[in-house]
Amino acid sequence: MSTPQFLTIKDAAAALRDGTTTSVQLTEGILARANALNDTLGAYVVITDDAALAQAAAADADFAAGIDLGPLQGIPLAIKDIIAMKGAPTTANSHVLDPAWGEGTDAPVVERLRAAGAVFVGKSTTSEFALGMPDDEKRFPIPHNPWNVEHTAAGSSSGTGIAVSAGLALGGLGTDTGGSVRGPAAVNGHTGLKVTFGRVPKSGVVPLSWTLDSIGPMARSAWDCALMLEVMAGYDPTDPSAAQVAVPKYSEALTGDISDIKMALPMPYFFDHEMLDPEMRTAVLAAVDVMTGLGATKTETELKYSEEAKDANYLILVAEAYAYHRDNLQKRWSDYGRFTRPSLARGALFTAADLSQAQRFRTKYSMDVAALFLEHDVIVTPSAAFPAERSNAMSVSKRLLQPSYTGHWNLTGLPAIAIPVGFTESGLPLSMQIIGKPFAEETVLRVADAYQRATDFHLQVPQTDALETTDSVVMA
Amino acid sequence: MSTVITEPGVATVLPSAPADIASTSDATMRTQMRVLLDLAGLSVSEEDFEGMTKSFITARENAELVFSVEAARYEVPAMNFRAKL
Repeated sequence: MSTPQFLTIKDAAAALRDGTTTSVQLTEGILARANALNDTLGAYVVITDDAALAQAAAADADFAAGIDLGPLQGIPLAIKDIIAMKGAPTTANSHVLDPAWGEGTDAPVVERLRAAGAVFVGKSTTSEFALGMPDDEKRFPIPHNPWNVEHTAAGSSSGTGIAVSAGLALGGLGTDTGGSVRGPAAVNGHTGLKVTFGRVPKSGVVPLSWTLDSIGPMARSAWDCALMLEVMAGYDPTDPSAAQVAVPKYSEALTGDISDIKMALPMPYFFDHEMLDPEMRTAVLAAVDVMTGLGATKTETELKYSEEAKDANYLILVAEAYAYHRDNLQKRWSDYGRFTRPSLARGALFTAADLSQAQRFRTKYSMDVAALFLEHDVIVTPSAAFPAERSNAMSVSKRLLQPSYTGHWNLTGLPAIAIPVGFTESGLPLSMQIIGKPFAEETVLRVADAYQRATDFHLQVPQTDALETTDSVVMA
Repeated sequence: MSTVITEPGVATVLPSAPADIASTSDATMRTQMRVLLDLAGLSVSEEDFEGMTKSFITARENAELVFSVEAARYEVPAMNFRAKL
């Protein structure tokens, strides 16, 4: 057995059942790493040691009694700190959120994971209200990329991304409004699934943008994301946008066979943008070659208005976020982080017509994407235009000028998975995105899993021994 | 620019149409931003204001880009509203 903290959920579930390990042993190892590395990596706002060990002991007791709640039983997970979880406060990494928000309750998605026997390591770091950037003026942890601590861990689900990458959890929850599951998965070198809008109930989550938000699984592999989604997905009456669509057994769809899959590669903007990093482009196209080698077919095509789609997503996000935060911005401006407050206040500078036009554009772009899916099963793009940037080089204004490849699928509400496809020469992860039709998570996961059966980039882990003393990156 | 009464006895200069904002001078743009933020009741610090001006033009240009898509001209917004009792 490889280092238990770096096991996939699938392998850990097998180890728990064949007696190779126990949930308490697994959780103790995870907690030890989380506590030892949290000051350096900033993955967790709070680590719930005692509660986690109690959950682990309960999982072991169930195993001993012959009770098997499924593959998540006894598996340590990280919960993003904008999602309500019993036994720990929800802060949204902000001094503004009412400390009583969500107190003593589980969000439906957390409740489902708890009922499935999962173990919660703690509440993982998020960008403030899932929007800002790390802010050393506030008391919250500063997230660092475990492959190179001078580079960003991305956001907003930074903590879960770090935790999965560095062996501080075997999986976890993120939320995604413009790329906040896929971005951290991409730069931290693991797998992250943004689900179809409405696939997973999002009540019990501090909202960022009601019409774009989603909760998604983050884990080492597509298979692990499938195992998590089987538990997470499904209708819940507390979320008005939750879809009443049957939940398939996602893992059973992962056959390894993608010979029927037709891939669309929208070349302009997604592959031919002048700012796209050449190493990213090369790695993603090489990954496409792997998939064609497995029998999938590809067509280079065009998806018009993709530049505008990025802007429309941003506009809707900012407008809705501003509506949610306006009262607090008026009363508690300086309590927000220095990167968060101007980002939110930008919503005051757009007009009602801007928002309506963005929603009209959303209709047009969604129809164009739907047309592409008449002839194809998945769309393939890079997950991001760049590998992880240096943290000290990031800025909001710079971000507005850069291409982005994730918000398009929030705008259209489609499932999209980010998976590792290699490393830069300097050792930073590179990532490919696979997008599917509405509620076609099975297809997206099947394609990603087939690629991961043929490669092992998703199993590479950062060398964490030297994290506190050097920023050099050593691939395990 | 136009002037309207937003509160009894208080005249406020409103910004021009959004299309003009990206093409206006820096000083005018800053004035427009201040008016919009004041109207929103936001007391933005000078440091924050300076930071926002850097990205405001880009953000406005990006919003204009969304209006430039002729093919979306006759679409209806992707809002989901159903009347129900």
